[in-house]
Amino acid sequence: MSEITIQLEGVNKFYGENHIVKDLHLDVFKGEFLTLLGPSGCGKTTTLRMIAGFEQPSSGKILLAGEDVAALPPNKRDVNTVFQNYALFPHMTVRENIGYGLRMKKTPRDEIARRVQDALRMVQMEAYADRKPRQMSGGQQQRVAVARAIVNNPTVLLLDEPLGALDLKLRKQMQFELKHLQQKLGITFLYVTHDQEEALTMSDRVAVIHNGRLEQIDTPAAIYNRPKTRFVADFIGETNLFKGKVVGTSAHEVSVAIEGAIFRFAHAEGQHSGAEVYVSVRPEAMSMTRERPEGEAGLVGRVTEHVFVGSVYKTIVTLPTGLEVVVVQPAASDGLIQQGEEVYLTWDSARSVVLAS
Amino acid sequence: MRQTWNGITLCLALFSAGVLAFIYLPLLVVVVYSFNADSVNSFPMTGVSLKWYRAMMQNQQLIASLKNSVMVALISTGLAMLLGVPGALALDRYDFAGKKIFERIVLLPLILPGILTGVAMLGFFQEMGIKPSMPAVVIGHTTFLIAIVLTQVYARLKRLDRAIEEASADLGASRWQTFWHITLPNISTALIGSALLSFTLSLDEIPVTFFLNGVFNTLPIQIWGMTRNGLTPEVNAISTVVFLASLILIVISTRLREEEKA
Repeated sequence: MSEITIQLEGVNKFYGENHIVKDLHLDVFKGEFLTLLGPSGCGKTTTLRMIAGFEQPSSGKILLAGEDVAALPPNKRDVNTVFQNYALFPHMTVRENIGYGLRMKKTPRDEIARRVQDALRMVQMEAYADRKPRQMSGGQQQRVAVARAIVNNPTVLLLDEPLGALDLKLRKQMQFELKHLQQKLGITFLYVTHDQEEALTMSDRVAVIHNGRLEQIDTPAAIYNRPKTRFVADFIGETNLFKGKVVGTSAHEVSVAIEGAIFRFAHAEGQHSGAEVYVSVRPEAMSMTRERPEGEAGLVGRVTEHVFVGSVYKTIVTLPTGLEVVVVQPAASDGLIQQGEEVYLTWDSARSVVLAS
Repeated sequence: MRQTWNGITLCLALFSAGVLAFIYLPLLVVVVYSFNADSVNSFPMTGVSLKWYRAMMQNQQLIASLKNSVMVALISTGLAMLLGVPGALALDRYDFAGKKIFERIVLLPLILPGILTGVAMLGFFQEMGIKPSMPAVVIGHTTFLIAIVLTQVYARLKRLDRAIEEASADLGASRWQTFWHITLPNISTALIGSALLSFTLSLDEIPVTFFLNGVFNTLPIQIWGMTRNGLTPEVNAISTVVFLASLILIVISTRLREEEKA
């Protein structure tokens, strides 16, 4: 995992006045599944299109396997793309679609037939080989689009929201299929999505992009548990963001005043006294009790909603300031808390993160 | 909801039937009289005969003018395709100064009365030293046929999913390969459709041809000449043939357009 396949060096992209991609530095390792995650319009698709060669960066360099590809048109780049709406050729059968890339590269006829058959088997579409794209469902077209790309055995496979048009159940299934395919083939996947759950499920690493800027790149667990910015904490999963002020720092800890109480947190490098900060606490790291917890500072609030959502209870506690705090507890803890009750909120400070505001 | 045959729908049906009769009855008369055994167009017919079709086949001038018309239609359709298709591609793919204006005036040769185009071209060709002749007719036809080809192909290109061309490039195809293997097959119905329509329009064009033909007679001009001494059943016969040929071409081109929409 140390060899770098794609390298972006200070890439910028302007459309007229709009600065779409801002000074992007990104290393994609060989064989990894890296996801560019961000809300729509954040520049992730533009980034993918620059790597594929459909767009030219306004400045900066793109290296594919160490080679600057600025001068190479899309057909000369050793990458293949799975497009958002599949972009299958409507006048060709599934077999012809998949064989198109090999045909363009003047691959011998019998080798095309064999490799197309392999690709069909890999995506379990052998039975549909002679159909036209419009005779198939979205999920089937999606598989063909993947087969059409991987049959060329590219260095990198670029996937632009490939599951966006599928319904939820099929999407979940395809997430695992794509992940298994990637592990089996060992091809580097660069995946674009705005669905954070999809990103966390499939990726080796996730790059969160916001307003054209790379916010954080890390493993899914680290992105979730140790968000580096307020945007990442808010965008990935559900979280409670408390506004606070740093009132003291020591070697390993930082004390933050939140809603009039003082809390201590670890992991807050670079925070100085007096700084305005946000503290992000995941709902599952929150807990609530009827009695004031001993020796611990707690926030007092009133339960305004308490709903059963399958495996867990989700409780909304409203603080006197009007801030709504979400608490998620295992379903087994039912019966402890009633709606309208006053409760004390505490949290696991080891699972909380202090973020610059 | 059950449809009731009330007074309004009945009136509508009668009105529609009237309009259709107004349009198609004259055509029907021509077709029926072309099989008339008598040489006078009068009803009831004295008998059914193919003799006017035989006479038509033996009329050297008529056959020559038919050949001329087909030749003009083929050449000007070919030229309109050669100029119109790249024009449509340029309109679709590139931004250039005056593109918006060009998009608006490209249909002008079609909308302008043919007599205006004819007069204008006659004057222009005289200045250029081109005599009224077959090439002049071909150029005249081509000018308004380009508008047809260009607009039809352009409309199809605008609806073409550009992602499939990107996918083609992504899979290693050069621009030319992409055009040949992907773009062309997906606009083929528009190409064939506009070619058929152009061919039909050229075949029965009169006003522009009239100003530019000189001694070169096309079929419509020839028929028009023959009717100056009264309508002969021979004219009915050739009209029926032209009508059927046009009908077939137009049905094919409409079919193609529907097929493409499906």
